Amino acid sequence: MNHWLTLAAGFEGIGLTRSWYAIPLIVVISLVYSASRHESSELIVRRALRLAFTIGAFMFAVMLVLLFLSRNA
Amino acid sequence: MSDTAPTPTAAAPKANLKNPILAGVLAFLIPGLGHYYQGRLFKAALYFVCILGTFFTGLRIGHGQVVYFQWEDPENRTYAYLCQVWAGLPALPAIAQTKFRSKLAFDSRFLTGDLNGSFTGELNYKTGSGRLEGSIAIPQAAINGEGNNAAKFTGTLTTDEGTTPLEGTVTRCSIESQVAPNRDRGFEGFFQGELPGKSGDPPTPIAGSLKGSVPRPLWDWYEVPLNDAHGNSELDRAHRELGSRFELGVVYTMIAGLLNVLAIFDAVYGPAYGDEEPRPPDPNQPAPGKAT
Repeated sequence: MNHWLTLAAGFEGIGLTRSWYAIPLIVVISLVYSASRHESSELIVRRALRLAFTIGAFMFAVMLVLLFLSRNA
Repeated sequence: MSDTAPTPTAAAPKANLKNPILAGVLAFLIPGLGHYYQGRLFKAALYFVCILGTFFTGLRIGHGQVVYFQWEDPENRTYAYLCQVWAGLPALPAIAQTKFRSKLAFDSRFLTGDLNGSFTGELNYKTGSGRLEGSIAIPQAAINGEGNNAAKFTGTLTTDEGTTPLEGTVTRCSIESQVAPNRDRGFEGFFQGELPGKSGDPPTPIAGSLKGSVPRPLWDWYEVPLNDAHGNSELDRAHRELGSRFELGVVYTMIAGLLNVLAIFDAVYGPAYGDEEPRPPDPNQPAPGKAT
């Protein structure tokens, strides 16, 4: 729990508090996209988890790049 | 690359789509309803919760001001609505609000009829202030300035000393427009009334400025355009009040609408890959176009 609080405080410190709004969107987009591809509920959930992780990792990587580029701004 | 590509032949859906066109229309109107009609209950629940949840969360983030339809003024066209409208019935009232509203409904100087409703607010009088709760009856003439009609308040006044019943009249009334994108319709005026006397004492006159609100009916605030009575956009005000929450609300509601496009296609044509995992082509099978 403390790790999450630390992470949240870190996000707030660098002005990224609003990034938390992306998380429900990522989950919803992953679920609906996977549901439109597959019929089996088990497959939908499994693919949605994978897609959510992929999107999250991609966005996190982009955020790191942007933070690096703006480190002196 | 072709080794990992999904085979199109595995895409045959096993779901019973029943009448796909009807299912598509139902899926458009209420996300998940088309799938419910087809008996695909897991998907119905998933689409319903995810899409409507996202849509109404966006509306909530944007304080109900992020979904509306405006097309006549080229500078303030709501292109976002082209995405939001796919959320179906929850987004469609925006069109009706723009097309069927009289301009008077956006004008705070007029009341289109007598107004009776609950009232909450504050009363600031000479010796203090207190919270008012009760009901108010506002005759049309009290706002439109025809004669000396006054609004009548009946309810309670809560101060540090306790709660007492209170009745009185309100003159010099002003009220916000009938239609605006928030639930509370501001009302203020000059109150004159009497506090009941304690243990047989005569009633005490009380007078002061009254300020509060009456609730708007759902139809008067849900997805109404951000315009004043002169057709001027109130977009700047909304941005000032909401800041980045305005954009967040727009994004949430747009994504909800776009996700329902996927759900509609799913209802009409079935899932893109069907029940099967996408499989690599079988090396024992001849490649398409290479007859043996």
